[in-house]
Amino acid sequence: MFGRDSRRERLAVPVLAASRRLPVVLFMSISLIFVLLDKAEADAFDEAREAITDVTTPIFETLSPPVMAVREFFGRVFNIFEVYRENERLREENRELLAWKDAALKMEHRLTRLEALMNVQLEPSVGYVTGRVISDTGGPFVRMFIVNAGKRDGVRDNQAVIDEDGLVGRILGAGHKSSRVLLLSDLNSRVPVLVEPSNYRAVLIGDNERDPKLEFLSSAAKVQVGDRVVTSGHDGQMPPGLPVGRVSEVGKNGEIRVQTFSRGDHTEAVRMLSYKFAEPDVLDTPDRAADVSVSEGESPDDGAGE
Amino acid sequence: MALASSDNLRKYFWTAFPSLSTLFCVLLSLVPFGLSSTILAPPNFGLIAIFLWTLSRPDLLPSSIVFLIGLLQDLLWGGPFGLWAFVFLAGYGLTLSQRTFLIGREFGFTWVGFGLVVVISSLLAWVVTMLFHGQWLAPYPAIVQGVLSAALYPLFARVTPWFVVRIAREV
Repeated sequence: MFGRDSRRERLAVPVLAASRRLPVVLFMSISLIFVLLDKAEADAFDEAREAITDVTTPIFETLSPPVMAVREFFGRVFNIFEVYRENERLREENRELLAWKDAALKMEHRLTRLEALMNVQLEPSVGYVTGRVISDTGGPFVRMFIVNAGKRDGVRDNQAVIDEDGLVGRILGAGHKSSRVLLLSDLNSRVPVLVEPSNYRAVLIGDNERDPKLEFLSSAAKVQVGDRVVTSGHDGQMPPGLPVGRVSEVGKNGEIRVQTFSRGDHTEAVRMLSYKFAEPDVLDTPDRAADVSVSEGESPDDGAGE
Repeated sequence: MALASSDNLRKYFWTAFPSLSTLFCVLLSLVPFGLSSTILAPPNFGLIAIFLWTLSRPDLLPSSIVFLIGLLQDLLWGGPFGLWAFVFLAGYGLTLSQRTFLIGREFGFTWVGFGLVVVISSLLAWVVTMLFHGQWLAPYPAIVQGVLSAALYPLFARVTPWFVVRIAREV
């Protein structure tokens, strides 16, 4: 029963197992070293991420439309049952909106008159690029998706991303023809906001929960459930006044959460906003002149931009 | 030689099939089914593929390939770079060590085996992510992802034997 062969086999098994285990342990160690490197240098792998996103974009552009079409079909089927109620709701809303339109037109008229009186410098208009969402969030602790618009279309890092309901997030990394969008609920998302109507300053911080939380709010600030939250533009990246969401929860321990207007479940197309802050004209001119004379050949925008 | 090249090509294709299908599964996890907005995380298709190929043909799915596919998933999924390479290899090593124990058992038994691999992988991903960010994270997105992966496992387990037979014939 226990011949020489079987003994040799019993010896061979652990040796074989060890020879298989060694590379696994080696590669696991390398993986952990990568994690540590990523922790030490946050943008160490950004170029690789952008390159791989660009490479896989054609695959997702092929795979996504049929899936989206099926989703849309089922969405429509379910919508049929809602048509009557939806119609009633829209009619009601339309009635209200007409009153608002009237008010807005009056305000606009007053505003242009006052601006003309005060000689206000108008901010440059906000440009936008539209992109289609071609991938979903993958990891359980990352809220991110990929859009099929990149640097060649004018998308840049940190641009605000909106859908028809409000702010979705910002551009995390713009590749050549695709970009990664970081959602408001992601762990790395930080957006300076204002809480209306008193315009309290705060920062909207994602913690991987559905509703991000408000922090760095002054202790004197009185925030109630239902208060509207908009971007403040204090980061110098996003246009001020973009609708973000409503305060949904004010906890006893001071934790305030915001339900975002954008629910992220039907964001098939999103817009990336390019926005440049108005620079004060009068102060800017001598600076630029100095810059041009100091840095030879470089574009004057590089020096004066920040 | 020219005559044999198409045969060779077919042989290469089937030799690479476990790696290619695992790669495809990683890409599949990012197709916008609309899961992430409603239930917070899509299934981890890559882990299912790795488990099934480690059981049936570990010789065609070396740890180096698992490592590379894990890194690709890291680049595509976002989050700490190296996390999923680490988790995939942990799942791979675990399956490999229990392979003789799991192989040739009835379906329900291997399903439970996969369930355990998913639990350990999700736990690892959760803990490493928390250490990386230095903050507490609610575990439920990882639980949802794990449950979905385990629920979809039978679908993949049913088609794998067909490919295993095909590979045995071609390679």
